[in-house]
Parts: sequence; structure tokens; C-alpha cells
Amino acid sequence: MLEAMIRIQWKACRHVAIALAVAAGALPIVSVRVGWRGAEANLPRFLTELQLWGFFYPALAAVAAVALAAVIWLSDRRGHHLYALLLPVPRWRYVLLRYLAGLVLLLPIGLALWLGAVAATSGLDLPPGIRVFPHALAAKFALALLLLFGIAFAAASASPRATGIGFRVLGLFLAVHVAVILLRPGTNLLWTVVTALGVWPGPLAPLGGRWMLIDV
Amino acid sequence: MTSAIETTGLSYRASPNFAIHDLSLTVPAGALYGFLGPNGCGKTTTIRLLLGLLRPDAGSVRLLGEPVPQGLPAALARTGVVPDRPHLHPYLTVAESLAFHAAFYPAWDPGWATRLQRDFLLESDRKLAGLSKGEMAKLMFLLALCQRPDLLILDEPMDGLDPVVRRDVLGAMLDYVSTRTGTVFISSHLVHELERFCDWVGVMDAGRLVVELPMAEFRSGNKRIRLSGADTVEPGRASSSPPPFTLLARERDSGALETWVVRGWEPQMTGWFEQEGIVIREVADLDLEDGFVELLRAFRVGEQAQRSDHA
Repeated sequence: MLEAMIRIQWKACRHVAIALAVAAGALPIVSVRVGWRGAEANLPRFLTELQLWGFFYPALAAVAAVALAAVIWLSDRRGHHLYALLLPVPRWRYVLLRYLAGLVLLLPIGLALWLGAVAATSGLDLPPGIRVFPHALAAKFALALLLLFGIAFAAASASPRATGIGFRVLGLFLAVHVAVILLRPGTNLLWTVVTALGVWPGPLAPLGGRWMLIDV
Repeated sequence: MTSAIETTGLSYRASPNFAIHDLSLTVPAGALYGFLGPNGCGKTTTIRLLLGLLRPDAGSVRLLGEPVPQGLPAALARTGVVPDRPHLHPYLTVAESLAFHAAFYPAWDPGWATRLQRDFLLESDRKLAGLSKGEMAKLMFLLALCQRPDLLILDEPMDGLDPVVRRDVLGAMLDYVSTRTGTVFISSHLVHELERFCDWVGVMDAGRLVVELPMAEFRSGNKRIRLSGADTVEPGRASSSPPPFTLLARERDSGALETWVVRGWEPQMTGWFEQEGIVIREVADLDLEDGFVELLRAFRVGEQAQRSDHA
């Protein structure tokens, strides 16, 4: 069943997955090539530029996660999930099959970024004290990809009712946030939540931090 | 297990204007069950309830002995479904669609699938998005049949198909039925379509089950009777004894002649007319379509009368 699911999911998503894999492979190469010209003369500027490029890694992971999750569920959504619901498997198992097949689609993207990072950093004549982190960057990217895909997949597979509940909870939270700001100007509820989620040990921590391919 | 499908007191409100009321269906195992009703009477909603696609407000469903929705995966593994509209993934080719479907059904018959694909002229590399309505119907039948189901549920499967495609898919279905003791539950508003092969019939109108009985009984018990001397008789009134049949419709003809449409007729019931002083001129069979129309007409009159009584 999983093999069949992987096959049809690859058929549906292959264009998106290939485009994202090319982008993932190109990103580290382009970031190094663009900044490397004259870097020996001004290494701090090169590292600063590379740090700016770091924004694109979690952004690419987010785009990949959302795009793949959306395309994976597109056909089921268009058919009002009728075909899926008539298959002789429990709903949770069908969703699990879709998810596992989706993870397989992430592989070429993560792999392409790793290969790109290795290629971009190989043969560089770096001054003492500067090191390359192709494997660490690729691992961080893979983690972010997994995390964001999980979130995007859950959102894309949710029923209209569950989506409605999600939006209502979000709306309620924002309303409370505004009310708290008005009543107690020093308190920022939104920032508190973002920090709790995005700073270690928050679940979104892998998205933050430094995304450096070359660093001291 | 004697029933392939069994619903008890099934109720579901689909909208403020439409609901399924207290639906109790029993489809015997091995039956070719025609589920008849005019457009919008609730046939598709009922099928969706049977398949666990909708949650009933009240009542219960058993499919091949399995309770719905708890035992649905086990029941669906033995049930082939052709829904009222195409539901397959349009980006797949015919071959890919077959391979995907087969992966979910342990009893999948690849040999028969190949034969049917050839008979239906479905090319393996054709994309589903590019198939015509007839080709798509053939593919949906192929998928449903080749999983070797114990139960086939077909929702208006012939609707909008040309006669050649109809013959092809019906032929395949009857081939299947002849080689295996399967149950077929087929909904349609095309009465004559079902008359040819169904041995059970259930008639639905306005979300209610009007009647459910063997086709032979439905056919033979529905009569058009021409009578003379019936103009003074009101069946069911205190002055006359209640008739042993159901009077569906009554029309005055020329002179003293009247035509009654009755259900549940048996030859020995002529005695009732003699007792009432009515002379029978002619007893004629109603075909299924006429019987269906008269049945619905009587049901609606009864419903209307019930509503005005309540008001």
C-alpha cells in the first residue's frame, strides 16, 4: 500500500519536488559563489552576507513543506475525499500512508541541499579559524523541513470543520493579545508565545538560530 | 448472515428542507436490489449513509454484517462501489489507477482486470482526466468488479451513459453476478433499467421508504382493474368491508366504468368485489414503471392527507 501511495504521490508532486530539489541544491552554491568574490580581502563582510543568505534556508523549507503538503492533498480535496473514504483502510491509516509517502518526497530536497552544501564548500581555500558546516547545515535543514512539513501536512489534511476551529482559536488568541496590550501596555502575549515556540526547547527552535554554511 | 445491508430507523437531516426519515432497509444477501425513487428523493444520501460517508442523526447501519462506521474498513474490503460521480485521481493513467486500487484489495483479480480493460477498450496509458464519461464509468465498474466484492453498491451508474456503454457495463456486472453469489444494490430513477434484472425492489420518496419487496411480488401484485358498479363504493367506509388489497388510485372512466390501481392483488380477491356488488371487467398487469408511478402518487396523496390532519 505504501509503495502504491509513494508512486501516485510522486506522480502528483514530481514537478514541485524536482523544482524544490534544484532550488535546494543551488542555494548553498549560489550563496557561496556570490559572496566569495573578494572575500579574502573582506572576510567579515563575506560572513555577514552569508548570514543574510541564511534566511533562505528556513524559507525554502517552509515553501517546500507547504507546497508539497498542498499538492499531496489537492486531488483528494477536489474529489471531496470520496475515493479515499471508500478505500478499505481506516482514515488514520490513509493519512499515515499519505504522510509517509510525503516524507519520501522530502528526501530528494534534503539530499540536494546536502550535496549542494558539500559542493559549495569543497575546494575553498579558507583562512585559519574559518570552518565549513555542510553536514550540520543540511541536518538543520532536514529537521526544519520535517517539522514544517508536519505542520503543513496537518493543516492541509484537516477537514473544513477542523480548519474553522483552528482559525477561530487563532482569531480568539489575537483578540486576547490586542485586549492585553490595551489593558496592560507592557505585556506582549504574541511575543511570549513566539518565544516559547521558537526558542529552545520550543518545538519550532530548529527554525531559528544561525544558518551558516561557513562560520568561525 | 442473511442481509447484505440492513438499516434500522435511519434518520439524517441533510438540510432544513430535506431529511431521511426512519429508514429501515433490508437487502437480502444474494439479491439484485433495485433502489428506486425520483430525483432528489434521498437515494444518494442513503447510499452515503450506508457507506459511512455521512453520520446519521439516529438509527444504525450494518454492511455485510459489519456495523457502520466501526466495522467499515472490513465491510469496504468486500464492497465494490460505483459512486454517482467520478471520484478517481485524474492525474493518473488507467494502468496507474488500476495498480493503486489493486494494492488495497487482497482479492483483486488481475486476470479479469486485464480482460475487462481489453473488452472496455481502456488504453493503459490514457490519463483519467482525458477519459470520456462512458470510459470513466467503465473504469469505475472495472475497479469495483475486479476487487471481487461480496456486495456491489452502484449509485445511478447508468445515468447519462449511451446504450453501448450501458450494455457493456451491465453485461460485465451480470457476468460477475452469474459466477458468484454477490449482492447488488443499484439505485436509479430509470425504472425500466432495473426491471430487467432486479429481483428485489425498494422504492423511496421524499426521504422515506415507500415499499420494499421481491420484484415478482411488486410486479404481480400491481394491477389495473376496470370495474362497473363501483361508483357508490367507498372502500374502507363503515358501510363496506375493508378491501384485502391496497387501493393506490381510482379513476372514473366513461359511463359507470371505473379504473382502480391496486397493490397486493391476488386472484381470490375477486370475492370482495362480488360481495360489494362490483363487476370486474378486466384485470391487467402494470409494468414496473406504471406501478412505480402509481405507488408514488398514492404515497404522496397519503402524505398530504397526513399533513393536513396534523395541521
